[in-house]
Amino acid sequence: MSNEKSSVPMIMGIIGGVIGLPSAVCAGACVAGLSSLSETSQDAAELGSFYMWMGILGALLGIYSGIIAKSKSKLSGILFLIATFMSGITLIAGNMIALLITILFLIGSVFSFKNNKI
Amino acid sequence: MLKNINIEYFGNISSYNLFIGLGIIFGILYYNFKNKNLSDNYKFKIYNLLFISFIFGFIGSRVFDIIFFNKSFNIDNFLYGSSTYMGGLLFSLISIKIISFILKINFFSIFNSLIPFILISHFFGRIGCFLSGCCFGKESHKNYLFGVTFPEGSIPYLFYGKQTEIHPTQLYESFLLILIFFLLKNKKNMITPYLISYGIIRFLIEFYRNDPRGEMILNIISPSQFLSLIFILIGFIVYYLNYNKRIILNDIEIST
Repeated sequence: MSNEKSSVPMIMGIIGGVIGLPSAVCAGACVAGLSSLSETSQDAAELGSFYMWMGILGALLGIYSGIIAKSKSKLSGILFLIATFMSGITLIAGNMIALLITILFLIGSVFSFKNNKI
Repeated sequence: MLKNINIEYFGNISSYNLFIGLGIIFGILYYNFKNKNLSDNYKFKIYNLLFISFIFGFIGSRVFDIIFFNKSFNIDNFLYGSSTYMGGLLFSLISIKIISFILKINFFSIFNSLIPFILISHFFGRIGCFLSGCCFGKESHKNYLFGVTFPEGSIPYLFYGKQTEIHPTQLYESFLLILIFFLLKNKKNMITPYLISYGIIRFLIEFYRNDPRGEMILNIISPSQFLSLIFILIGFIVYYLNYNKRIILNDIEIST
């Protein structure tokens, strides 16, 4: 078996991140326009802003975790889990791309922890 | 043209973003392949530096776009505006210079080792441009070999108001970038040939581009052509400094 660390976390993190960034902005705008998720339009705008920033920060964290995956595997695995959680939250906004991103980050996290044992 | 890739149940994924991601992935894979002997700590520094330079690059690409097109500085223009590659690269390099000073690592050595990464990611990025229909060219005539037609609803279609054969400037640039990559990949000083060759290529391709090019400088050259000339100038300065041994281009920390 090869002792080389896997590139899977890097690929998952970067692909998830670049897909996640624009979808986070879109999801935030969608929520801001939906009054069904909140009582007033101001609440909707605040909620939209929350989901947008959560998605953007989750995507950036995913990219960062992917980039450092080979040099600091354990840290990368932990950050991937946080990114998974942050992207997962935006699923409430009906952002189905977030489901894909969450799965990618979760796979990245598993492989990062696996890399840590090498 | 394939602006969005539809994944059943999940929705659409922007092909431009996907190709930017692929560019970064292949760029990092190549960097790892060429620098197998680097220590993990040094690699960690480089990766942190890369990540921060991405963020600064994004900011720079938007800031330069706002300046080039004389737009007002506001959050909408920043978040939803278009990007310029050269502005992004300049901001990235400035951020790398500052961080390398803080981390006490050699800026020119890092820049030199990142040239293949820049070329690979830029190559993929331009293919992404072609798929999304941006950065398009002028109308080509029938006697040109490489005229392409974009479908209805695409950016070039909306610009020209009809389907017309245009220069695939994105593919010209993409092809030339990968050519530079193969010519430079084993050179010791990659900064000088990269800056000069890319500067010349970009300067010439600008004549064939027809997407909005920003406010012309002195009514002669576009802002990107002006930056191309600065790239060429910096390329010669780096050559002079390297020739006189005032800078070190291959000072990297090898693991023992």
